[in-house]
Amino acid sequence: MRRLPVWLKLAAGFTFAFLYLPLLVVVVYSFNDSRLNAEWVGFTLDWYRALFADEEMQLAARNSLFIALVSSLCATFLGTLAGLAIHRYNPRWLPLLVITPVAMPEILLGVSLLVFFIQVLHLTLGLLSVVLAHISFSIGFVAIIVRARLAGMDEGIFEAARDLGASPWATFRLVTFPLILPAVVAGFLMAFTLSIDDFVITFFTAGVGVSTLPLQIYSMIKIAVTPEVNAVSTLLMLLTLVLVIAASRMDKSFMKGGA
Amino acid sequence: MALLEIIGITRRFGDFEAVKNVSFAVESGEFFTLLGPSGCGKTTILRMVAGFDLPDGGRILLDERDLAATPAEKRPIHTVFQSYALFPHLTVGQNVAFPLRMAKVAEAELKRRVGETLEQVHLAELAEHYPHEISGGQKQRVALARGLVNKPRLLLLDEPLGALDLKLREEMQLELIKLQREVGVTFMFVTHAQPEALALSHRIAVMNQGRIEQLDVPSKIYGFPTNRFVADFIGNCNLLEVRVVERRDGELRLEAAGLGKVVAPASEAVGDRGVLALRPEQVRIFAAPLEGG
Ligand SMILES: Nc1ncnc2c1ncn2[C@@H]1O[C@H](COP(=O)(O)OP(=O)(O)O)[C@@H](O)[C@H]1O
Ligand SMILES: [Mg+2]
Repeated sequence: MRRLPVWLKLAAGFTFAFLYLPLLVVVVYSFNDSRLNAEWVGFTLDWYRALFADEEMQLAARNSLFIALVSSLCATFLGTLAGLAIHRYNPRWLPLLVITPVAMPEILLGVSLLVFFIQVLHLTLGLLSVVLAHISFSIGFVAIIVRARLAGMDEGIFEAARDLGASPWATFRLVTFPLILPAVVAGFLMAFTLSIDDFVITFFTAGVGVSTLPLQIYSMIKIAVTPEVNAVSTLLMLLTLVLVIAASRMDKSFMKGGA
Repeated sequence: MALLEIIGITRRFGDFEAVKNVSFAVESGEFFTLLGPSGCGKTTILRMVAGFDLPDGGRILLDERDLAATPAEKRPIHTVFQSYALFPHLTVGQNVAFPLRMAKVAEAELKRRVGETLEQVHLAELAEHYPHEISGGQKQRVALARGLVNKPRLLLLDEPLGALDLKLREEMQLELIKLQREVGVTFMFVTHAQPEALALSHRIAVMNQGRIEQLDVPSKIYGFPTNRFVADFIGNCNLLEVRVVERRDGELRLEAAGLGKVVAPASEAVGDRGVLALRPEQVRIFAAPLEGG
């Protein structure tokens, strides 16, 4: 190992501080026994208690979980198929088509989905429209992760399976799927994380009736950044952290940057 | 009747003809080898026989039936890949059991045959291990066991010893011969290493640029190459331009530029000029001039 120069370490230190200090502040104040985010008074779990007593918050959390679960399951299914297709047939346009929504500004995606749902599908905005929107932006992530996993595999094993008597379906069931499963699970966790954290696209496609955790947090801070907001943000952060760590554990290639 | 008959097969990739009108037959029980430099089309032929690729022309018959319409998984032909292509998520035992499961062999019978085959390749203790936990030589044996366990009509081996170090390769050569005798499966072996081909095969087809240059038993390939390429490729020989001076029964007297007179144990010679392949171990040098010449 080469020793890093001091200035590089300092630069890295500042970067990490810049990234994580704001998060740390939120976490710390969520346990602060004061209505104001000003000075440390003492430790309390009151804000978490308040959170779990808040009906609206409960409903938003339930919506968030429902949307995340349904959309990530669908996105995992479709994204896995897309990843397999890109790997197998390697068409020039498919990777672009699948990956573009990943890179597209969210606001664009949000507006276009809104227009599409209302003017083309004549859909009433609600849970369904949010789920559809979340599926559409998650598919690409799943496809990238699954495809990266396939790219790292010896093509020979699929031929070996056929050679030894496995039909194409048996080859998929007994060889391909077990081997991409870690990537599929990582893709699912990633889609779940994206869905539960999403604000912009949800904001455009939720309509008036439906609230999710990020929307709820936003509507609360319009009044003031209360300790309750800190508490719910902390919980959301924790969940995200757990999901991302789980996803990276599942699939090493995901950590190496996927595509 | 031959087990496998290849009749005038051709395979083109774009403008490039990788296999050019190749014909040969493999007899049942034979250890048949395709020998040739890298890129001469050996793998392409194997892939067409296995069913991963289709010839652009010509026919492939197994037991006198055309294979054209039979997909890879329905052909009673198994392959040992150079990369071994073991299933990384299955144990050694499960890898070997795979073809039996595909053939829907009953569980008790399956257990017995997996055990028996692992025994034959000396891997019985490793049945529970995963491929990443065993050595290259052991993976090689697993691949062999997996290819043989369901007694295919024909086993294709694509440079199976290529990834092993020299000592292990020599060991495995002996085992291959032994194994083939034991199980009685026909082997179609591919290699670019001529000592390996000479040591293992019943018959060898020497290939060059998509064609077969000579097809014969090893002693003939070594002792009587029919053209310059084969002589050169089989190696350890000097090629000399010669002129035929005299023909006697079973002997040719030749004159090589800068070398003097040579007696060669051959009877036929077309024309009176040619190339002499001299193997060092077969050369005797005489100080006195040859009697009568
Ligand atoms: N799928 C393919 N597309 C284009 N060219 C190929 C393909 N497969 C093989 N070739 C070419 O055909 C020739 C023979 O290849 P191969 O059969 O693999 O040779 P060998 O196994 O004797 O080394 C090589 O020149 C190779 O580049
Ligand atoms: Mg080859």
